Amino acid sequence: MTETVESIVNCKNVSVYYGQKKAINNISIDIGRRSITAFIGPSGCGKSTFLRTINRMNDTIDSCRIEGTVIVDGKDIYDPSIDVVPLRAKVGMVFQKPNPFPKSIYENVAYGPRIHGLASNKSELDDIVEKALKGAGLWNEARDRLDESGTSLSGGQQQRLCIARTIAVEPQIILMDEPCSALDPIATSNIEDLMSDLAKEYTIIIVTHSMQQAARVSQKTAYFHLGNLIEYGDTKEIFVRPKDSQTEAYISGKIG
Amino acid sequence: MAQTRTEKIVIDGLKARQTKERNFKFFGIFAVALAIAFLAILLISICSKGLPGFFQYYATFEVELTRERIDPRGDMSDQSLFEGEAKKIINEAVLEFTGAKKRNEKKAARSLLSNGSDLRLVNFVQKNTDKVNSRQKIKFALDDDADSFFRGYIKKQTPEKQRRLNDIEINYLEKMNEAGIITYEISDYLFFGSASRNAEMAGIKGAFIGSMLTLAVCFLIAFPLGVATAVYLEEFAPKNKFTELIEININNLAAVPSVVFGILGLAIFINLFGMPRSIPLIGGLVLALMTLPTIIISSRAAIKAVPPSIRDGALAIGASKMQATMHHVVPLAIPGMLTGTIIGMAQALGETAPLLMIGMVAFIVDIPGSITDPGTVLPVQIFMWADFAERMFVHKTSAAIIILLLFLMIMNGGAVWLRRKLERRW
Repeated sequence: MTETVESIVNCKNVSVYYGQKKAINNISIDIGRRSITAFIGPSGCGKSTFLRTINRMNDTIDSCRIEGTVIVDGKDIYDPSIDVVPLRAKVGMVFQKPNPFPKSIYENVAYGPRIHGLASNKSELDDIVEKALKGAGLWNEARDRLDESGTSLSGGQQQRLCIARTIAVEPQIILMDEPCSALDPIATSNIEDLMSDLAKEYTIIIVTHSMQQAARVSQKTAYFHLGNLIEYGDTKEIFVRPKDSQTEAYISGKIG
Repeated sequence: MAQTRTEKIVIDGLKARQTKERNFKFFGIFAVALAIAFLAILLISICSKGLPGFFQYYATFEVELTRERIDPRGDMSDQSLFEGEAKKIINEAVLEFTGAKKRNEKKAARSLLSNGSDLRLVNFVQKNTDKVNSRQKIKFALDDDADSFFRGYIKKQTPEKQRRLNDIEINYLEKMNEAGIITYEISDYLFFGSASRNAEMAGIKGAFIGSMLTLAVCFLIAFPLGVATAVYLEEFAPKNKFTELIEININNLAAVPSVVFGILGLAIFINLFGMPRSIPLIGGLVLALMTLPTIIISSRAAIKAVPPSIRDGALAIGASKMQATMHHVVPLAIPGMLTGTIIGMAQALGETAPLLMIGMVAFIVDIPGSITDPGTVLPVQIFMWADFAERMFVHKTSAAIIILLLFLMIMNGGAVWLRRKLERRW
């Protein structure tokens, strides 16, 4: 580890079970504030499952059970006294497939601030929507069509709309679950540029299948395999001098 | 060109495959054609019997509306008009026209107009108070036997003893026809009359309003309850043995014969709670019980069809489960829920058996004014009319069936329209 950054997510001995099946095996990891961390690994290695433990989206799966502690910004998020609503307002998420609500672009972005009561009047809400759309690099394309349906946008624009929707509630962490896997290379590059901008304000954790993408955008990379965290460190180190032979095999394309 | 082994085998077997496909297609077309033929026969038979049911024969007579005779108390109240001599005035007009002198002639002349003619005269006076003390031409419905004569069901050639009209009566009817006072018009009794033992006066208004009231009660109870149940079971209920049992039971309830719900209603609402019989409130409650499974099942299907990504999207920005459900899932599922509800309501509209059990088959002349007034519903009215022997009831039965079918078509059309309007893509 070459640089020391204050960490915002601290996971200790986290294991996740789906019924009897163990999907995540005793993972401990600290993730730094205002940086991009990439989770890589072959399909089914548990990286998405692990990502979803950080905002408790796994709660929606009945058979899912979690052991260990996940501390976000100093609070144990699996403590019985914690409500998921403030947690998810703090830890936003962008999904693999763009999933804008079938409402207008404006309503898509305004939804989060509205349910949390972040704006006291219409003009404040307008400002939040504008700021979020600007933050997601969508303002210029969407400013004249705020009343149009969010689903009328192209795939890349829809994904940026989902990012705008997420940052409209001003979270501290944004989880991205393969955000570019359904997008073409140009849209992907737009999103990647956007991520680098966002990392100035937000902590971003991204799950990706593309090692080039991990290498391009992230400062730190974690390699998962069969529910285990094999290696975690600076992206440069991992891609240039992987310490573990499994990581090296994956990165060089021998397994995956 | 050399044939490969695979090619040869495939080509050899091709004929059998094509025959199979052709046969299957033929059976499909045959089945559809059969269905269409039966539908056509049904429609033709109902329409040919039912369309004449929308019309009936009227005779116009000029009557002297003397104030003292019609309204002896002079206050135009129902009681006063009831005590008046409306019947006598009409009979005088008929006797004058026919020139009946002898006792049997007078009897014959008096029997030609509907029993409800005096009521018609009273209604006319109530609506046109300014026309009192003048001679007015008023249209009276013919008695159903006289009506049948003009429809050709009673023929003059038949020996007098074998027909329901005697020679004198037929003579008078022919005389009226020659004088041009007989008209064949859209039946106002059908639309504005209610249950009556006199075929010419029977109408569907009471049953129609009864149906509307019953359906309103049914909808107000079944829709919110059904949707709430579906939302709870689909979104909030834990998945365990108990909810599984509830689920199986709801599915089974959809297959329970409707008459059983009638017995349930009779046992619980009437016997246990002591509510009155024959009222639309109970009818609606019973039909709500019957419709609930349909609504719950279709609502659950509609909720299941909402992509989970929408729910996840809402949850991920911090919506509570309730907010994600109410703001996103339910609005997207509403078209499907409404379709299921309207199909359930259409089913309820056509239901007879359970309503017979709770006494909505009673002969009720009054038009129900509220859900606690005794009444009946359209299908039960049709059921009762189908039981009567008079020729005219056959036509009125078919006419009422046409009205019921139209009503159903409007409801189904409404369902399609609502679906189109509310459906959103995602």
